[in-house]
Amino acid sequence: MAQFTAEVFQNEFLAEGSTDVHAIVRMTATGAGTPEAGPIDAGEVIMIDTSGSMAGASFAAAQHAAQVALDVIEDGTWFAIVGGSHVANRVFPYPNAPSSMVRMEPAARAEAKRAIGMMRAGGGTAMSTWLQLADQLLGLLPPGTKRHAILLTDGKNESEPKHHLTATLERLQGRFRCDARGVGSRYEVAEVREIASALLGSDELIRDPSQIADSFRQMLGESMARGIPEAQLRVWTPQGAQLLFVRQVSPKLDDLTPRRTVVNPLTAGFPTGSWGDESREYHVAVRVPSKPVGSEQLAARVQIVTGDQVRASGLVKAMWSSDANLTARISPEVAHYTGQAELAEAIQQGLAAKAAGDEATATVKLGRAVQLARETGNEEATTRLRKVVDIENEEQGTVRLKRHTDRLDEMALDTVSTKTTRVRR
Amino acid sequence: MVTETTDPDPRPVHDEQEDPPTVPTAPVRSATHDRDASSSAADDADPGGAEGSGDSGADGDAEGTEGTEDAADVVCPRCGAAGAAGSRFCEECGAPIDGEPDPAAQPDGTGAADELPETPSRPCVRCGGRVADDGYCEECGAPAVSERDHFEVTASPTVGGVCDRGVVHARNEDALALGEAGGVVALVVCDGVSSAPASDAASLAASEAALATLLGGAPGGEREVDAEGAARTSAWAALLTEAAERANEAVVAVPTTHVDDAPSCTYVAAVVDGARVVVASVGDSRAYWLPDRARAVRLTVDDSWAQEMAEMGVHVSQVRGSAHAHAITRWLGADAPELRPRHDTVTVAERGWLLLCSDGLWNYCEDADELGSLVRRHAAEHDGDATATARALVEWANAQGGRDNVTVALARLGG
Ligand SMILES: [Zn+2]
Ligand SMILES: [Zn+2]
Repeated sequence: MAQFTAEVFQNEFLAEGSTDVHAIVRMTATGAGTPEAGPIDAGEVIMIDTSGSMAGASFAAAQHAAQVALDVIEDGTWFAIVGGSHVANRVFPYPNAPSSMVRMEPAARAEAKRAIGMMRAGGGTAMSTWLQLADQLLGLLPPGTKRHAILLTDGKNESEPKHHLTATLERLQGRFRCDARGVGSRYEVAEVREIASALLGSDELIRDPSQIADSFRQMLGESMARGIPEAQLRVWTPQGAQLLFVRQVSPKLDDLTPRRTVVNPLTAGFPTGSWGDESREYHVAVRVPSKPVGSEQLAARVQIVTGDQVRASGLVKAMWSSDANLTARISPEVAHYTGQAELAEAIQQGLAAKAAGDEATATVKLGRAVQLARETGNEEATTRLRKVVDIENEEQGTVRLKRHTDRLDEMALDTVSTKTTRVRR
Repeated sequence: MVTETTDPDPRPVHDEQEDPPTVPTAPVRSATHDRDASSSAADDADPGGAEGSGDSGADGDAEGTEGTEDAADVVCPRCGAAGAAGSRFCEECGAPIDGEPDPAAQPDGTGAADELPETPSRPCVRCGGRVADDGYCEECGAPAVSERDHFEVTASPTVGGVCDRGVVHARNEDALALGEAGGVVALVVCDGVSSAPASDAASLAASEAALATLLGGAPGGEREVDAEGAARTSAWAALLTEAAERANEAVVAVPTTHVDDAPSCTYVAAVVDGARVVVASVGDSRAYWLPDRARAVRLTVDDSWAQEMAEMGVHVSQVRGSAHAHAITRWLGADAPELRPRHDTVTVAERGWLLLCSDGLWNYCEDADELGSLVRRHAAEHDGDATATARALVEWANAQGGRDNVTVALARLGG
């Protein structure tokens, strides 16, 4: 039986007149590997980019990876394979098959591998069509089924206007989880991130096609281990308060604020997708009317909910005090993740400026990123920043842009910008 | 002597019926109990028994509504008061009761333990919202407060009061008791002296003992005041002094571990008998007559260092800010100076509010006329309902900082 726990990290003391309450809430699931009521039904859709750009080593590697992935999918799991170009094609079950998804079993696995081997590369790239087909397929499964997809691309979403993808993602929110992977140096990091973020999945850069199979194996293994198909984060705030933002800060940054749904007038809901045994941390910021010194008030209840059942609840409090020793302290967790959010922004803005030829801005932003990476102990970010800039003074954040950088290094830095480190203790 | 602690423990309940029978019907506490086993035995022998018998009417009512007692009682770890088994908080002092109940009294198998119904917590005292299991209001987020930290008493739509911990203090040492019997209204406010331990229990015991005595003076009561004219006023004044004495005895009887720092509290009480309002006070809790269309009248003189300075001609501005500014010179309690309540009387000739309050309110509004405007403004917002207006005034004091416990008792007079 899966269990959730909630932990709250904050400094609840507010100075007289203060109104803003910040807290980091850690939600941890344990025992999620054992599904709540017997084995849960699951559906997996694998989307492989079959556009013309894929032809060659990448395509062969992708085919191989998809075949390997089939071995990881447990028998009994519904599955389908989609080939994507400027249109989406169902590769398996075959287009003329009587049912659009089939349960995994040895014969189906062998036939699907054969179908993948027959895929051919050609055409453009319109990812919204792939996602729509995946949704149609997963939508056929009974309610309560855990729905998961993986998407692999090597190029830009160039065969449709950008807003098509954005609008599609908005519509598909909460309908299934999608992990997205980009392979090579020609795809757009921000596009892959947008897909993963909207569909509550992970995004990663695969430098070399030979690594696709491992990545697929890992994604499907993790998916199989997620025994909680869907959980919702709920944030209650008191009458008269304002929920400033809710963002996931660990394991990666993701602003949930735009995905807010109304549970009731005082409670906002945010989809979090499926859960395995894991911890996720959220930064919640609430503005409450100031109260006299000595007053105590609950500023937020942060809850994780499955079905309609509250599984864990964290209390974010506000206590007004005249003791400056209490009120001046900043929670180390809040400070850490505020710094990491700023780090992500500095990296993304710096790289965007560099791409646009604005070297002055790029130098300042990436310099700030170096400083923040050091302050927040994000060694991976520091390592990746070193491949893009020469650091003169890490503490002060003075850097020079490298003249010749590998585009893959810049993409890797961009991709890693949203991954956070935990607070050092 | 501990004996008078078998008093009826009049206790605020929120839904008092409007037309009381002629028997004094002070609001009664929801569960009767004895503080200790010896007290009921000693009851009859005690000289205070005369007053004790005066309580029997209310006492009987209370017993009638509550079946069980004694066997399942638990003892408060702080003040020693007995409470019904399963109580989470002491009814006297509000301290949490988490210790094991007296093993001898543990009624295994009587079902008392089984029927610990998850007592539905009362609505939020700030906004009326539901209080969640996590201890905070589901609407406004205010923490739940114990019955002792906030209670309200309503005798009728025109007579009611609210007693609240305020914002800063950890405990509510104020107390309030009021009731109506045979057309007579009695109101009592006591403010525990926070430097002394168990003053929260002391103030509650004092207010309840005083109210019982005062309502005994109502028509049909044990001590019915039946004189006429000026003698009637004198009779009420005498009963107000006697009520102070009973209150003092109740304070002295509160168990304490500190011999050199006895529980103590202030006392202000008023009786409304037709157009006649008679007031008595000890300490710095106050009474005001606030007519709608005339100047406000303060009916009490503080027994305080500040007042003594004023009488000696020292200007208020020099007193304010002094460490002694809030020190009182008279109080109820074992270490109190000679008990000499101050009295005042007013004849009501027009409509207005009678206000009794602790310094938790008047400290934020020293000017009597301003206080009158404040009361009228809040009354207008609450359709003239006494308890709702008192609650609004408490909220107002808390919004000013709530630096002290705050108690407000109101009676609408003059029709
Ligand atoms: Zn107690
Ligand atoms: Zn409330």
